[in-house]
Amino acid sequence: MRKSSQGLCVLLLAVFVAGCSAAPVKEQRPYIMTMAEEASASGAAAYANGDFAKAAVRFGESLRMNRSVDNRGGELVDLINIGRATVELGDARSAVAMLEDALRLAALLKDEAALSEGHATIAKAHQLAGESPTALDHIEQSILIDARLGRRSGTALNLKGLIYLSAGRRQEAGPILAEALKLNTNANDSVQAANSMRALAEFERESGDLKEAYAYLERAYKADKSTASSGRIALDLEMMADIRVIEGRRADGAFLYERSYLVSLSNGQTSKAISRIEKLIKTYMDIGDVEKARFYTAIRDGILAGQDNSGRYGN
Amino acid sequence: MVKIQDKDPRFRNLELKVGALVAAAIIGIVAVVISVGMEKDLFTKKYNLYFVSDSGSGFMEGMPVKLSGFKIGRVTDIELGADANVRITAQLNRKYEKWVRKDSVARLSKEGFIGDSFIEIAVGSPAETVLSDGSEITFEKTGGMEEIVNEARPILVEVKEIIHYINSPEGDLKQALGNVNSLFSELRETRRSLDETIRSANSLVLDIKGKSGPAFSSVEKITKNIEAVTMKLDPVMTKAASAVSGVEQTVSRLPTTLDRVDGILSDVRAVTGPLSRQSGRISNILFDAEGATRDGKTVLKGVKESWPVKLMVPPPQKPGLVPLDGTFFYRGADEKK
Repeated sequence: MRKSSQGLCVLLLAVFVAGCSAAPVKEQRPYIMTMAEEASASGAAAYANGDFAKAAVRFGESLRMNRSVDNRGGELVDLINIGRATVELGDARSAVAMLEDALRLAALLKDEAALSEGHATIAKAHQLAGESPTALDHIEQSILIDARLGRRSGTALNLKGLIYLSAGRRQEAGPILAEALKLNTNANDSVQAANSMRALAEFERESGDLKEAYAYLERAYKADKSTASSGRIALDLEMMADIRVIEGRRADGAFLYERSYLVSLSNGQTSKAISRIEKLIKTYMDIGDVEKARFYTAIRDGILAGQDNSGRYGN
Repeated sequence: MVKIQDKDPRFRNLELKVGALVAAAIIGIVAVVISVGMEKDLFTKKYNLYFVSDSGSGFMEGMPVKLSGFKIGRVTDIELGADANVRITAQLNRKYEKWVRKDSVARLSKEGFIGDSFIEIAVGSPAETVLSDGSEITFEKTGGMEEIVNEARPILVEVKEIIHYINSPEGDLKQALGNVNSLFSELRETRRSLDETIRSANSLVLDIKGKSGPAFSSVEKITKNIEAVTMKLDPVMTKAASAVSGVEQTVSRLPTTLDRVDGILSDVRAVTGPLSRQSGRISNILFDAEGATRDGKTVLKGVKESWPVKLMVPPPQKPGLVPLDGTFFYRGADEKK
């Protein structure tokens, strides 16, 4: 009896000491949470501007702050955001590690919506790492959770369709991508609708319907112009040029490649500009217009020399 | 009949026990009183000093008197003298007496920008005699922020004038810079024309191998273009000369301006004297401001989240997820710009 009383006293004392030491942290909590929100907002702004490296850094700061005050909800959002920024930076492995943490935390917090977002993001990371079956598992889980929550995501369907396409399951990809386009168009999401159109163009191209593929790309180009996304516009022009070249309309293809490389160059996407100008040179060589091929070769060499001088590679 | 108390051992020496308890309580109370008294310097020896100020504004009875930041006493009396001056009496601890000497100075200071006022006493030099009970200590009036700002006002006006002179669109400097600017834009234009001409010449040279006949006529055309461009350069160069002379004139006027700036700097130095004395306070103010901003953010958040304000203010947007891009066509940031 006496021992148990002593034990109780020690326990109470320990609780009191722990409470005292936690007091300053508790006092700082609202302030740190506000700071974390500010860092997260700054990261979101960088992400929207395409500065994914900065976005990842800011989300990382927010994550550290949220963890220091045990804000699990904020931590979950940060983990998924870091995963998304890292995927866009092309670092699929780091993204997977971060997103696996996010999935564990979402399950712990029973946050179904975040769980779905986490699965969709990790699916993209796995696909980029060349692991299509795992990617498919995750995207299907995401769609399943969305269905449970009574919602449908055009983005998830876009990813699922593209995973099917890359896995050679073309017949299954078509209807999913068509559905994704419908959803994204109804949601007035021009960016995702353009993604659906490009994916459908790829589907039609693989199916051999070049006319339909070109029509989808023209629609994607129009949608991207409305969102003033230079990178996507250049990509649309390049994909349209590819189709014209396959059709044998090389002069039209060359014109589109030229527009594509100029858009990339004016936007500072030098490596993309070089790859597109090389397609242009090849097209002119195929046409037999050596003079123009040489002219663009000189321009390409000039861009490469400029890259060497400024010490920038592969931007 | 035997009483219960007689049987129960707990009641043995009861009077003694009660007495000990009461004694312990009394000792405790006395200890508390002594400790509080020592804390409040109730038992230390004290002495009085006074100083005279032309205004009683900012002083109040009970306000602390500090030496090197430590409280050494308090103001005990403020009275208006026959000559309309204010006599302020301070009671100081005797143990600090050795620091307060004849050349010590009392000043009215403030803790932070919005903190409490107190009397600051500067330590006297060892060569001087210690001030005894009832002596007068010199009071030095310090300029508050308002006074410093008033002193700086004419200088700020002059700085404003110079900035206006520099910024004025009709001013020499702006006009000279404008001329140089337009000159450079024309030069850029000319360079672009030259680049185009040279590019045409390059492609023409490639053409010459196969089609020498028509190419020569093109060469002639290009030569004419180059001539036209060269002609264009002449007025540009004339403008360049005039722009440069404008800059020269402006530069020649700069010494006068620099003299004025020099004069202003000496005035600024004079003003920064009092400011540097306030620098400790200013750094405190900045420190306080940082804390206040931090607290402000928290308070604002709390207010926004409290009833009924939260009914009026739209709920703050919590940071959410950034959109996932549903495509694999882009690899890396390059494509996303």
